Amino acid sequence: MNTLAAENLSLSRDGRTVVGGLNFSVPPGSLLVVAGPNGAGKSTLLRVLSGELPPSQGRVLFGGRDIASIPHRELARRRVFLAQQSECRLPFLACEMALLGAEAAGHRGRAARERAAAALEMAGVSHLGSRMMSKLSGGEQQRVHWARVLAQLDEQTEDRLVFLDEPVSSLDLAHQHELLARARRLAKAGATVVAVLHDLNLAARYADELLLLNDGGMQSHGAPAQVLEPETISRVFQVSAQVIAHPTDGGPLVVVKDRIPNEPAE
Amino acid sequence: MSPSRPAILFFFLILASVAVTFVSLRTGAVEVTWAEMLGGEGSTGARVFRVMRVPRALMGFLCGGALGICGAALQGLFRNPLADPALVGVSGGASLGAVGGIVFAGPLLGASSYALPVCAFLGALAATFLVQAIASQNGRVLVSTLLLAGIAVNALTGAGIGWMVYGANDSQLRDFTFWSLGSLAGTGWHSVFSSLPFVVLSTVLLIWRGRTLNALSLGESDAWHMGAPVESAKRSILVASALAVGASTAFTGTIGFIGLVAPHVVRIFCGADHRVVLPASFLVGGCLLTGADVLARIARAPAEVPVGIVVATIGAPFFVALLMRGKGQGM
Repeated sequence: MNTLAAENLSLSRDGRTVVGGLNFSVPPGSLLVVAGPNGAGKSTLLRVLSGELPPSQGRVLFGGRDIASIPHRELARRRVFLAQQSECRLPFLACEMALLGAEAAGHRGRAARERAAAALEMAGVSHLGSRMMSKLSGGEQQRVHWARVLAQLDEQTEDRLVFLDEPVSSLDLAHQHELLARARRLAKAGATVVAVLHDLNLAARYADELLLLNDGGMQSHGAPAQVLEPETISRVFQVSAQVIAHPTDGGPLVVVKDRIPNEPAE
Repeated sequence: MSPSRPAILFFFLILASVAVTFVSLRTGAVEVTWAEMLGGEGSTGARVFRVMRVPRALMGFLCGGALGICGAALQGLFRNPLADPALVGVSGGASLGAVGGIVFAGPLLGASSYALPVCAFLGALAATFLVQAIASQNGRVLVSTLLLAGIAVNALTGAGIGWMVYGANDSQLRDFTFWSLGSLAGTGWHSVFSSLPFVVLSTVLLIWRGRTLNALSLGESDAWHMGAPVESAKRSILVASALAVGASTAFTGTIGFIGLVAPHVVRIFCGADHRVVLPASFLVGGCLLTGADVLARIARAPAEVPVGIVVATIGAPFFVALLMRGKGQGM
């Protein structure tokens, strides 16, 4: 079983350091949620962890190997990435989109088509298969891309890396929970899942571990119940918040009252 | 998509290709009889057929096909249905290369029939990389910048050609005039053989990259995550496009619209899968240019109109019709 680990990781974007000195590891079989205010470097962190961008300092280890040293093809067989937005201006059909994922996993011909169909089914978008991507709503497109990622993931989930960058940003409530429940099942089956989420209550509900980022680095990392303290939330997000026990499962439930006004300068 | 749809398309495209080629072989000032077409010897008709008609039809198909497949590949690579070899400056670069060859390397052109396509290829290659470099930011090609860069490079190549022509001597000027008329008239076997290797090589290269182009149409980042060899594919697609456009421009001049229209037509029938779009665009492009060349011969017979004029006359309204039709389809 391979562990994904960040070792003294620093990230910069356009020459500006956004995250510095990050140390953490995600044990296989768990779901890590990364949260934080806009511009805190969540997406950049995800791209560095997935091996797409080099860190400005430190390194990312997967199973003890520097992720930069894993050959691109091998990595693509073991890692999937759902981007915040995938533009597609050519008239691809939804089923062809899923097929791209199945082919990326090395399937060909009939096997690839079956794999793509199964993935569309899993993502609950089989009925959209013959529709053109550009004709779908934002949420539908996001679910088709989720199907593409599932098709690339294949049935094998052990030692797999799943990166999800705001995967539920355009989904309705039912599909938000459906997607995250699926991600959680992938983790339970042995995959390592790292997801960027804005909704702290979704994070509390589905994450094994929560990483809060703020300007300049890690604020807190741990189980959601430990991390989600009212003081931490107000410091990181500049809102006044209370954390109460969830009425049904007893987990943390974040209730935001309002934004803390900016300190008047001088 | 039903799997038989591409098969139906290819069936009709091959049928159309054969028909257009046949019409092209029959069209011209000299009447060619069946017997002469099937291997008659000695008569004027037979010689016209062998020395002029066949190479001309082949050349039209090769050049049109090259433009069609390059348009499809560049549109996929730049994720923009507006990319066209003429629009993004590739054809302009090829023209500049060809004119540069005529003016500065005249003796070389006389020595080898490959020299002109090589010059055009180098010009196309330089323009392609220049446009791509201008439009890239953090590894992403900005489409609006790309089109603007294409306009700038086109203006620049036009100016470059102007300077060279201004300074050319009489014989260079004559060579240039013949070249810039850009018609398929006077195509001989040597032109066919000089462009054939370039076109075949780049066509094979591009079709081989079909799967990667599919992944690339989601953007370079997503393609990378799907395991596509992004950088090497980008380079080889640009080089192959420059090769094909260079080879075609070297002999026919700049012909716009085919690279734009051919992939559009294919996508209307068969969607966006590049494994279908690339070869089908080659066939459509070939049919379009060969067909336009037929019209160029009969429009004002016995005189010939430059084929570029015919293509633009038919292509522009056709493209507008496509735009109106595709308004709702995100094309």
